[in-house]
Amino acid sequence: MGSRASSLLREEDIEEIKKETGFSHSQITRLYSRFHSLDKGENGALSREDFQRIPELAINPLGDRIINAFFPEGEDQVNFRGFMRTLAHFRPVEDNEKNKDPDAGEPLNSRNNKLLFAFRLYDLDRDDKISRDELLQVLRMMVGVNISDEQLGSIADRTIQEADTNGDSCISFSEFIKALEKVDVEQKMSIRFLH
Amino acid sequence: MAVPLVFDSVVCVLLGVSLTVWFTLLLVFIVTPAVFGLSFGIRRLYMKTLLKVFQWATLRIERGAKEKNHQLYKPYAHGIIAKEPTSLEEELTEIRRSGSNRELDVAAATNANNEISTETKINNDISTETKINNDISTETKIINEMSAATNTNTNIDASLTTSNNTDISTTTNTNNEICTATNSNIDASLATNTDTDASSETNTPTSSMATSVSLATNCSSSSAEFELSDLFWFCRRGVESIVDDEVTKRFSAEELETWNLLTRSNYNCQHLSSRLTVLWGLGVLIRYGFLLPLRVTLAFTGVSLLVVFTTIIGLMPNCRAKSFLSETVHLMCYRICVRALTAIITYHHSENKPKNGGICVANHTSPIDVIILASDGCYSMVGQIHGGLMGVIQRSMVKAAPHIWFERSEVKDRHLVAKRLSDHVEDKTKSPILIFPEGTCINNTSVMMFKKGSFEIASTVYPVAIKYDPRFGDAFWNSSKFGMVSYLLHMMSSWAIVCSVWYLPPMTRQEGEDAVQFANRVKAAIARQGGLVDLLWDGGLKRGKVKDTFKEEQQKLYSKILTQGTHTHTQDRSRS
Repeated sequence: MGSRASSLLREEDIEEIKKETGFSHSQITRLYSRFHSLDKGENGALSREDFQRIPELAINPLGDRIINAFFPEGEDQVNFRGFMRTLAHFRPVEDNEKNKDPDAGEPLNSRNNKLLFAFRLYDLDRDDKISRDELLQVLRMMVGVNISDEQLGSIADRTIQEADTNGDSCISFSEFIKALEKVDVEQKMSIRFLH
Repeated sequence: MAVPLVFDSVVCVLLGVSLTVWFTLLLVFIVTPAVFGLSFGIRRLYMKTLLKVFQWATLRIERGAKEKNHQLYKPYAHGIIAKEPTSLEEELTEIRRSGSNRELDVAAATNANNEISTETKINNDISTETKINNDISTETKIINEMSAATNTNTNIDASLTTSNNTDISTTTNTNNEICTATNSNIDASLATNTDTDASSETNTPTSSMATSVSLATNCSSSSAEFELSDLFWFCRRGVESIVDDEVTKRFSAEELETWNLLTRSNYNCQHLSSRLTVLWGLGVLIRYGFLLPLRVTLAFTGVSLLVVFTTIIGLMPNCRAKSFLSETVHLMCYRICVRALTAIITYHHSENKPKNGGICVANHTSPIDVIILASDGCYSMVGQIHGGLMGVIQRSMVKAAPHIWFERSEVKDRHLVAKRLSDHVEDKTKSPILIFPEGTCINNTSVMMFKKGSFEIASTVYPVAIKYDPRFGDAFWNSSKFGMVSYLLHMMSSWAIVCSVWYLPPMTRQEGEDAVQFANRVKAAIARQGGLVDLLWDGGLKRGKVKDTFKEEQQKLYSKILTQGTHTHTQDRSRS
């Protein structure tokens, strides 16, 4: 485990990450230790192989999509800042934010941003729309070989039909939000980080 | 000219005297007790003193950190996150139930239920009845659990407000009986209820649906629909495993709560006060200057005695005296090695010690496990023949006692291995076999999958649980990070190796139990005794990739839920 890991993280960095993501000091040091233990190459950044080494993630049907969400467009390495930024989406939504900075913009773990994270898991080509093909591909990842193409196609068609309001047979982000307005996103997409 | 000579001779004399004193002490305090298996109790006193020092050290660090107003890094004794224990099916049913507040497009996506799907399409605009339906769903949940079909009637009657009450009640009665019989779920009853809630024309369709339901044996049509929010469960589980997973942390050293004055386990280097640094420096001096040479000497003595004596004994013809002598020699040498590591071992339940003709299985943390167990009893080892020093030791050992060594090529041949093991086990004069079914070293916080090979042999299994106390020295061998030599160096420069060994009562394979179930049963017993986490994961994941079949299991489960409803049970892979 990172015996010296915590000392490689400077106090200024911790403060910046705290402001950006809302994690507490001890959470950041613990997560840094975790980051360090995943980083087998010891180069301060994680690659896709580092993530795939986690067995529980490797057997997750959507494992590859989740791993992809950590990497910005076109990059193959994610550093600690990027790692924390993505994890910040999963912080629970608190009613009274301690440092409510009016011009900080929307916090990373707001309902909207959580939905955006989920939307991006479906949106394979990052064009801000979920097309029928993309939905089919994600569905295929989730069900494997156990459902036929026709059945899967009809599921995809039905889902798009329900959600699509402007008739372009794609789901845009606003249609996505509307489709999930009754779902308790805050609870389903949150992880309880301990202090 | 004469002075240097005199000086030289003085030095020689001093050297000679000190060496003699040294060896006498060695002989009296260590070798002789080792031969007879006695102990002076020095090591336990040492252990108690060390503990007090460690606690003091940790307090100083905490105080120092507080003074400087810094945050301490605390190892996550309670985990980084609190994981949600809901399974896939629970979450999906919850989503379905809350999501059905919207328009009830409960069109089933299954081919078995095609008849039902056409029926339900007619009933799409039931928005007014949605509230009622939800009440029903909660009622029927309880009812399904109690499987009391009669109650269903009254509850539904009470909550329905349509004029077709009586008709509905009778039809729902039938449907519910079917549902409970086929063990389906809430949503099933929900689906049937919505159909009956619609206008009177549904009476006929309902009855036909009742029959189709009984044919299809899966009443759930509303849950058989994909929701965009299904993704959330997979997503959350995935990110949870990125932050804290059960497997990867078993392959690196355990984190400690208190600091034990070893650099390798310190996470708060910058908070050392000067007093503490002095203490740490003293510790280094003692460990590397005094303890390490002492231990290395002892280790050499032990190993060389083993090689020499077993070779001599090997020259004797097979007789009772030979086996007696070989046992004594083995025990003596292992006990010397135990003292070479300053291992303080507590044996529990020695009445369950493995007997001849049995197989002893234990959890594996390091190569030292062998020494620890073998210093309290005689075992036949199983393993691969190595080259070098290890090979020399192995070859001489097998001359005196019936150990089972395999050539590298033979290891792959499962039948050959099994045959040799069973032959050995059948001979009741031979000592019990010692096997580590995990196949690799795990960091002593958990027990991983036991390979079934050793459980297929028909004999009694004697489980043994070994738990190290990590405060004095970490015994785990991280073979991907450290080689054997640096590992031994670490071991010999720690304070001590403290461990407990529990001998568990013997177990045999029961009727109708296959090798895998038997292995899991033994593993659970060992984990429970040693206070370790019982995992289903394979220790081979240390180096290898996880098999695709597990992902396919998950996919299959999800597909089943999509097509049939949530009446299957998930197996949480993190616990057995």
